[in-house]
Amino acid sequence: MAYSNARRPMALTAAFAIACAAPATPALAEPGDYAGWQTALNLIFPPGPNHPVTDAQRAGPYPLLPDPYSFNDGFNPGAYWTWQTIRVSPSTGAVCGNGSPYKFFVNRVPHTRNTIIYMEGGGACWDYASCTGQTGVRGARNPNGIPDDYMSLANPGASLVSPFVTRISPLDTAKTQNWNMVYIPYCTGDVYSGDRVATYENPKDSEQSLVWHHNGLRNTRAVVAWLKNNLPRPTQMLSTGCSAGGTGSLTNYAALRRDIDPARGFLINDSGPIFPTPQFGDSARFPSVRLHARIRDVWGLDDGPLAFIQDAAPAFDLGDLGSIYPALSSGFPNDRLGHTHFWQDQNYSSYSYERFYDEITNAPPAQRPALITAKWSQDTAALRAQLDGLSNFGGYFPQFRALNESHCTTVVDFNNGDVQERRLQLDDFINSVLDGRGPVLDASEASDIADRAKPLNPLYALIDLLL
Amino acid sequence: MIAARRRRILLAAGIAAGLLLAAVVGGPFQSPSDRHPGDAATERAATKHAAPAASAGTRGDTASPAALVGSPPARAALAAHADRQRFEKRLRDFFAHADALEPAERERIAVELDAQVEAEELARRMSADEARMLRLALIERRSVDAAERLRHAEALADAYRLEAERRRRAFEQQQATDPAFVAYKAREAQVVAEVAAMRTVPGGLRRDEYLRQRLQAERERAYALNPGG
Repeated sequence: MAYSNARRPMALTAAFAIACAAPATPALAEPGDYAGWQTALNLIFPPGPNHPVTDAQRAGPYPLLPDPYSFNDGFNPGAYWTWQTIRVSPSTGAVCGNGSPYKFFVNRVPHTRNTIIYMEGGGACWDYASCTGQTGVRGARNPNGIPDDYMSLANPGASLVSPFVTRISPLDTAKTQNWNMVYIPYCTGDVYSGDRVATYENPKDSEQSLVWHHNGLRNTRAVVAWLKNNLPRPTQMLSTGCSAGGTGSLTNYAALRRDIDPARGFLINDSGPIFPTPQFGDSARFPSVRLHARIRDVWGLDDGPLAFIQDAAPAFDLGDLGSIYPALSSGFPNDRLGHTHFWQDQNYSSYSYERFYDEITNAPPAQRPALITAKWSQDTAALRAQLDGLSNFGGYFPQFRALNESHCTTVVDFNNGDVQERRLQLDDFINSVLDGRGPVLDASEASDIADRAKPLNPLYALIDLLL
Repeated sequence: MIAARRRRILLAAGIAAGLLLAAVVGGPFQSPSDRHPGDAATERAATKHAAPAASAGTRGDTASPAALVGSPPARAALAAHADRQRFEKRLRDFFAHADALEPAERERIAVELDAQVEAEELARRMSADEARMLRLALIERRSVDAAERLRHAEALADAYRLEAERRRRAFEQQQATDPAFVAYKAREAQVVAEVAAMRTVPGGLRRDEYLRQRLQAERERAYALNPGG
């Protein structure tokens, strides 16, 4: 009697639980979502990969090299909702700038195969001072590598967390908050695009030098290989990031999209522009030409990475890094792509010009922002014109936000990236990319007066305490 | 009586088995617009490492479906999923409707949710950055006066800063004593000098590519010899 009493509720409960778990999943199912009963089963039997790396993908330039089978990557397929640290074997070619092991982070959910791939921002580096993280110079994040507990380590710079990598935000909802999340940390200083071991001499001590691995491209390839060998193919995939992460999303999109091969691909590059700039163009017309020349050299871009992009996006012109926008547009005509940044961005713009123009370097500090903004405006106008001609690649350019030097439109919240004259919010742009039909929204704001007239935002004021 | 009970047990087991079979064979929901209709059928249960709930078995096991699905780990997984959904909904509802609540009620819920957020963070179901942002937003919606809110925000910021510094220091200390990393860094400097001094590079490779390959080989060797590194 005791036996049957115990068994009956268990069996009934099991069947009932499976059948009734559906309400726990998001109400509006869309392509890539599992049915409720499937979600319940996934909780117990996590689905595995269905598009593993092929032999052909293991060969050629920048191959997809999975971990050896015996390698313990730390992944637990059934640990849903949890930020899991994924260790990567050295044999994949992945490594952080200082030579320490690369790793990344996965937060899995049972109710969908849709996946957001988020590349962390964090500056860039191209010499001893910037790559060692010296104070007083804009450098790159994580010069000492990535701790295993990185997601439990609140980073002062990362206090500007994006709603794209949170499940819940105080002010916003994005459908990607219900998706599987892949957080790709940044430790190579090369906007996820380089392939060169650089040796930077200490200008103050010629006996000292820094060996630095600008290995971003191979790190991204290792992540792709892992995703293919461990998770189901996403039906919908958004590749995004802000600042260096935005640039990395842009440069890696073609190969990522080709190899992951989701049914629907989306890109949002937040504040990581690569401006249209002929390689040997006149710096008066193309202000980013000096930055481009520098990074092509020190990150080894001409020795493989650019040709690799061209292989995946044939319209990419090796003589103009900014041609990546039309190349992606034509290479993936059914994907929906977007770029956004503020006209008044004082961060990425500083990286772009501050150390390349004597008239800025030598100017009194108070005058530098205006000089930088002038060049940024010139470059932004060219990018805006380019994007206006691409129907599936939208450009969204608000003016100013009283947070983080107007750098990154999608951090903290999606508010205050508005284009008042057209009554548009940043949400409208994001939704146009992710859910729109027809051409992706293009919008630009002419004046920052309305932005600067806004009252103090109490949440931003509290965030300022953290910075 | 006993026969009827058995029939009910068998029926329940049958439902579970049917659903299980459908999951294995039929796979997940597919929209007509999906480009890869075969994905559902080829999706297999993850097998490389055991999942908590799957400790009762994987899809290939021979134990009865009812036993697998009704096992304590499986029930715990279902319950945890439901808990998480409830928590997220409560938090979203609060942010959406906090202004409409009575001050005392708003204060009580904000404090409760703060504790839940902290618990989720400790369980790694929330990143430190996400938790900090939510807790900051909860403080901003509390009913206490502005000075009190500011005091809470400063205390929160300090606590996260100290914890981050502690973890950073621990990482740097661990890295400095990691035998694999220490061994690699020692070889790295030697290999860089050696390759820089080469008059010709073997294999017809570019010097940069040869250096990269040599250093990768050094890392593979160091971490094979010190697998815990």
